[in-house]
Amino acid sequence: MAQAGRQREIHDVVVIGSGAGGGTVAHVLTRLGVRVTLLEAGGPLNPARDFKEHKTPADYPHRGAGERGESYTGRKDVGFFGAPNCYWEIDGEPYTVGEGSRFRWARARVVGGRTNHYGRITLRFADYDFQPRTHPEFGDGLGDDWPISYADVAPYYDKVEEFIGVCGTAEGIRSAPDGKFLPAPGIRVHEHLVQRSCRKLNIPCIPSRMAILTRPLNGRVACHYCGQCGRGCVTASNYSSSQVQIFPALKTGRLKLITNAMAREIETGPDGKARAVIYVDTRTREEKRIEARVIVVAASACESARLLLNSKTKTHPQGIANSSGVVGRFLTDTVGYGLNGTVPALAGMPKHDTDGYAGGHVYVPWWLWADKKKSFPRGYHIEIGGGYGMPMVGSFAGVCSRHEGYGSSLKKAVVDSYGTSIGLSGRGEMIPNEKTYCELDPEVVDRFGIPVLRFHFAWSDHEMKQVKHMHETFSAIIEGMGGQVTGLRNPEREGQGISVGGTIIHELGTVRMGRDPRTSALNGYSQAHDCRNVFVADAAPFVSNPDKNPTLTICALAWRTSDYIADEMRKGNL
Amino acid sequence: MDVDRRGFLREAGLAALAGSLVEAQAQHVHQHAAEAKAKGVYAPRTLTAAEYATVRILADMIIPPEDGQAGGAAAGAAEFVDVLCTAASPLAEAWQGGLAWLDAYSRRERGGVFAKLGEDDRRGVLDRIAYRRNGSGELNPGIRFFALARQMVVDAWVTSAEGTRVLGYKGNVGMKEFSVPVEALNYALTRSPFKAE
Repeated sequence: MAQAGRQREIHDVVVIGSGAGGGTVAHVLTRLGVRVTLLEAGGPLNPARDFKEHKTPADYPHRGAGERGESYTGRKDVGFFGAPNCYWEIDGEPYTVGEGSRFRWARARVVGGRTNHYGRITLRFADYDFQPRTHPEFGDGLGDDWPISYADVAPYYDKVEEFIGVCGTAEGIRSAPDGKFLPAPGIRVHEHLVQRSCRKLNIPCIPSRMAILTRPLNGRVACHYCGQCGRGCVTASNYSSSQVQIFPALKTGRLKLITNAMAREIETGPDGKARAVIYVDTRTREEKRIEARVIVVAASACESARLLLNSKTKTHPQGIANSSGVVGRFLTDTVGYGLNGTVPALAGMPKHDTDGYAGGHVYVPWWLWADKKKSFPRGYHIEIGGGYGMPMVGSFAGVCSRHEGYGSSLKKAVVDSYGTSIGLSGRGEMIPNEKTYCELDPEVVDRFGIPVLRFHFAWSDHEMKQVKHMHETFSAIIEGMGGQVTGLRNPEREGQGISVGGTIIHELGTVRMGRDPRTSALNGYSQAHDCRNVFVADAAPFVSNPDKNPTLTICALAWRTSDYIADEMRKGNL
Repeated sequence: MDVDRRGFLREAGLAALAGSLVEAQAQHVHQHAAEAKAKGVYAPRTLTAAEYATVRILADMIIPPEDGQAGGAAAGAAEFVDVLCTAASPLAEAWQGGLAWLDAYSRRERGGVFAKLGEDDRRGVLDRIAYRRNGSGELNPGIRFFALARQMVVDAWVTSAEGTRVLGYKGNVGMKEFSVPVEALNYALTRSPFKAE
């Protein structure tokens, strides 16, 4: 509580990072009456000013190629029209990649983090996802089990879905547990065709589960189907931690938000408890220090690992939460693979608005969870793209490259191709491996003097075999609807076309939870084993990276951790 | 489809070239283009008048005006190219070098710079460089340049108000509920392997 004169303020809870995890913690704790100070490395968000939601390329002389022509020369940000401040490269804040590795790291620097930009896909983990190593039916001896179960997390999946609003349908599929759903919208023509092709192959294709409102909820209006979710939504009809959790939490008067604050390290006292956060004001490069009873690190998985590794103290010589040495290790990203096709049945179709919400209105949940004969562990879901998208710079690159030439026939090829292509994208589970981790770079610091991360990344045979299966499956789906694969038709080697690590932007697992403090950093409440007043609330605590986008589980675990923190504070244990 | 965080890298002839631009120039790009628009006549900032004129010719050959529809030039392709060349020096180099190559080749093969050739001779030149299959030591630079030119003219056309209208994009509007017209669905189904279902 604030004290007068020269005495320092001791904040109850300091949360570092304002994305899905930090936003959830700030929201839940302030609702429970706890005072929270939230640090965000980036700047404030002003949706009305910052979102290009309803702009078109014709509104700009560069037509969306970017102020520096980045569509042609290479992007640092994730897209000109996207919600602000999400980057592949941040000036002054580099990261390095170990020799022989390929990895790209997407980071946001804005209130709400990457929840302003993400795809809003909202999938619960399956029950067996929490026990991948030893599950009695499906355990495969790989990776490790979580110290918590689906039963522990399910009530929090309920809470999150009911609060943020998720549309979908109950389907009774074990790999895709049903949630608390708002109605799902109608589907597009190409999605009808995909569904029928899947049905012939005995593959389920069901309405997507998305953090997008199809009915009003908690004062937010329903989606108006402009199809531009990734640009930010002025009506907050999709979920972002900024608009759905942080702005309302600010209204309670119990949340203090400090933007442009890059956390440098956490300080511990002689008793080994964390006692302060040192951060840099990114505008003035001045160092500041705030004291806290409880610290929640939610800076995004790798940033959280970085912060903990940079917090070397007398009582924590390897970094806070790192007595086990696992911080930075067990890094994974989702396995990604895409295949496109053209579908003659769609050529010449009467044009209509296919925007809907951004992303497929249907998807394919993993269907082979019980198949003992499959050649690779775990599984993947399939995302579906198509329709009459907003014509952008590069939208017809494929047609131009295939047709070549010039003149009337080129123009006709472009016009005739519009709306005829579909894309299938696989999103699968990577098994943690020895070669994939992040650590502090021994030499390089960013412009605030903070040591940066060095990434090491390698796919294993497991993932390559999974991609082979994806290729065969996607080809069958495309051909089954009378289509022709336009992408890689005959891969020369197994796994050709697999995504570059980090580019699916589900990097996680770097501060993992577990029962044994020798092989994990956190307990089942994401509380550091070796520093009881430090918690981690992003995807760093994840023990595995199933074929389900992480955001819902980040929010659910963060909510559960928040309840635990409030309870422990009430009991005087924190 | 929209450029979103999952579809980030655009590849056209010059992917992976690092852009570099003095900060001040980036800000002037908008201003300049807006001012020129207001005046009604576009004054190229990076291309010379002759280069700009050649780009307009290329634009109307790549996407020709026909059936009362605007071609690449009227869609603003030459302005777009100049704006992008002003914004990114690698693009300026590619265009200036490509146009110079084009003129040198035209002079050598057809007796005059590209803009001075007749319609048939211009087509003769483009017929060589518009196809990768014509690749040779002599033609490769032209083929590479024309791939970029084609891409950028098409980009300018599809993103123009008219191009978007001709394509038939009807989105980025509001809808209360999402549904597709049953005629569209039936159209596709009857042409698909599922027509008997």
